[in-house]
Amino acid sequence: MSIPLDVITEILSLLPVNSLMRFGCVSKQICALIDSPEFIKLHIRFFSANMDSLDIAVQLLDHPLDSCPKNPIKVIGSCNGLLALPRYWRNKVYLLNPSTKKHQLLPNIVFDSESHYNIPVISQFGFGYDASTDDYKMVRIVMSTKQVFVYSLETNSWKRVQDFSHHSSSTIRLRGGGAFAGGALNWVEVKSDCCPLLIIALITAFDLKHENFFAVPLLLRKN
Amino acid sequence: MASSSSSSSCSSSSEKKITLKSSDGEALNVEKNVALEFEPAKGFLEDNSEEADDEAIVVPLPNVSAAVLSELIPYVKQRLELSAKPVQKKLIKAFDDQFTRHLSDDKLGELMLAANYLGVNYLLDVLCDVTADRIKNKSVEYVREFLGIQNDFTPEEEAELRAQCPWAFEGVDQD
Repeated sequence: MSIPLDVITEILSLLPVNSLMRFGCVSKQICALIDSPEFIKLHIRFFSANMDSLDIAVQLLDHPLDSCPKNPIKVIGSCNGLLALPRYWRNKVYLLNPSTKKHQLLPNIVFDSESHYNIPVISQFGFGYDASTDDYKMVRIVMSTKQVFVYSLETNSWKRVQDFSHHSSSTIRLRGGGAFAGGALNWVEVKSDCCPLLIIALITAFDLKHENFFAVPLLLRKN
Repeated sequence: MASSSSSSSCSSSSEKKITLKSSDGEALNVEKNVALEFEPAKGFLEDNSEEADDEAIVVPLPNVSAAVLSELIPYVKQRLELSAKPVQKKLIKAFDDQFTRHLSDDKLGELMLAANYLGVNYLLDVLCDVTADRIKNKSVEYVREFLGIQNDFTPEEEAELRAQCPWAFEGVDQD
């Protein structure tokens, strides 16, 4: 009995990643199938439409790069099962697929000369998927200089895009970790020095396709 | 009722019988609405629509045995009855569970091939689900056997692949 490949593909697309990693050893054809971008997309589509099982969602993350116990790992972005994790003390970021345990260290940003000696520390990160180019992108906003850099997984490189600017003179803070939704990364923009109470001004979003910022108006505004 | 029942006044379309001929040469009588669920039979009936008497039509299904057909026919018949009623999702699910629960691996594979060939996609989806559930904790060897796939890795290549993800081989069920 030999099951046709399209039926095998459907069966495999229903399996968890752990099983797929194992079944890569079944044959060369199955190995190539599981590794193909088409299959990966099929698998992501199925599992994002069927997230009714939370029993695998909470598990100890065995990550490969960092072993320093004094630096708890923060997740600075996640999308389609990939995590973006920082190595703050070296100003580095890496991407990790916790299911396959594969990871990739992102290259350093080459800052231009004007800010070269002023090494920026406080940055906001966001990580998401650009469907228009089928690419994963990491965004880094350097809060002191308002410089914005975009990393593309496809090219494995950073580029500088238009600075993050706003019209207000008050200090702006971004909160919310660049949540990925609707093809954009979203932050809550908080004005922190005009009022003792935090006032949510608006949601600032970064469009991953056009690589620019836009404001998402809030329906309710509290004073 | 919708189809033109020309000669016999009392028989409705669902009671009309078609003959299916299996790969091993057996003739099985089925209701026309059941036969129409099988893509090759549907095509055959459309091509031979000028034939006045449905009873005289014999549809060859050279890829499906009589044993498999005689399991499929009652399934499809009952499934059609269930789907005709409104909001029966839970009932259909229970019916599918009952149908697949006691299938052996071999029978599951045979039905999957037949459902694929006959284009009965709702059954194929259910069988794929059951198969995925059955193999997800099984060994590589078990899956090769189940899916009928020949291993074409050299022992060295396979050992190298296994070494890349040792955790994926932990906690695997007994075959």
